[in-house]
Amino acid sequence: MKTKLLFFWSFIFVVTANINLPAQDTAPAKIQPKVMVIPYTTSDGSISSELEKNDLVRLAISNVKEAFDKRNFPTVDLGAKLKQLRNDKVMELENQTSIKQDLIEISGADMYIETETTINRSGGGNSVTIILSAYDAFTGVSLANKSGVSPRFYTESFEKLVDKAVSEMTDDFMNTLQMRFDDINANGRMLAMNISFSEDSEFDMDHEFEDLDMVSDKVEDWLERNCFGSYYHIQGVTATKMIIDEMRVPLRTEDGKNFRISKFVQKFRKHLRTLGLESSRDLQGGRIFITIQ
Amino acid sequence: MKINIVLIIALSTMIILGLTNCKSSKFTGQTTLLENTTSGKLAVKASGYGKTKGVSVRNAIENAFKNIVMRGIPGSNQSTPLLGKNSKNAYKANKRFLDNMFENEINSFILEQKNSNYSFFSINAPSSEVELLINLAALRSHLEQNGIIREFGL
Repeated sequence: MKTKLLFFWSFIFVVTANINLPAQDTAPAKIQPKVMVIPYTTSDGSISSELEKNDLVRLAISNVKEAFDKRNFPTVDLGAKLKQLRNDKVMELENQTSIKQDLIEISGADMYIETETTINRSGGGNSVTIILSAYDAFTGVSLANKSGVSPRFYTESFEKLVDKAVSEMTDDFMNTLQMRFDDINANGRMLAMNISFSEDSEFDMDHEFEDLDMVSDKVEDWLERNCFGSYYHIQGVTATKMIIDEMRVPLRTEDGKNFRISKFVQKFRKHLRTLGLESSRDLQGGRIFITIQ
Repeated sequence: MKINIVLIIALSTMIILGLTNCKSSKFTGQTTLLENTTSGKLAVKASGYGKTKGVSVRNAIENAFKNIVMRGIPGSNQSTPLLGKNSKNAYKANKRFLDNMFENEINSFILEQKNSNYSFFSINAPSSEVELLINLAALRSHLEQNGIIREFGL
């Protein structure tokens, strides 16, 4: 009898202990995108000089970064990145039109947020306009936009106006970004791919195989089969180049691991090899460059 | 005679108690932005229905929170539903938790509350208007910690 009771209570103990145990999430943590907040510049403007000279934009950037911090999401610090790269490529490219893209590429940011501040003066008081725009660094797709104007005050203290305006709009801006993240979770992350041919290549996009399919057709067939939800968008195809400005891949593999872009590229190159095409690749975050030999 | 008086008193007491305890569950979208606030806060004005002041104020507060969580407040720093784009599905999936929160926990997210004068004209007109300053950051954090919404990021 005693043994039966002991067995019964042991059984109850094991069952309840298992019920109370929190479910262990064994899936690896998702790799979060790196975000950098930068000042808005005109096409010939310099980011570093805008950052150094414009106090208001510096304050606005700081406020936006603070909003990310409040959501426990670290950002890449532009100032620190500029200092780190002071004698590097970025400084060599000072005042060149490509500086923004180069800086984003060098920093490794997956997303960047442009921050623009404008002072509005009028007889009825002064105000500031803030424009926040988030972009995917590799595809250039706009992720979130928000603009706001501070109330008008008879003041020259524009810092307070910027502070107020940014503070009032960051919550909504972050919510829009989160909706984009939810979309990425559901429909996959965005990548871009450029396929070109080396100068001495025997092939081009118009090369026909025995089944009369051209190289471009074969590539498109592969994309259709391997992109998440068959989602891809071809910006253009010429005889020497194919630009896929947006294609989607999942965040996780079927067995729950983080999806590796390098494996995706490897699979693509293996497919090219089956067609008799040798290739090399370059990877820059979410941007893939394939050169067919 | 005595029994009649006792009965009348008992009935009246029951009616009064019934009126004060009954809850108005009328859900309307009558929640508007009161003023823009700094990040993490939300100032709204909500209308409430009910035959007593207590009931209508409670209804207004519940409506305010339901609108923030499930609909969003246009023009505010929470213009989209706190539950996300598919708020209806998220509500269905977490109905028990959310209903319990609306019923028992929302007071802890109210930073400031101002009730207007109570006036009951009909069951189809709001009886109270309540101005609320809500701790939006804490409300979001509460939903995140309980796994109702995901934390910021992928």
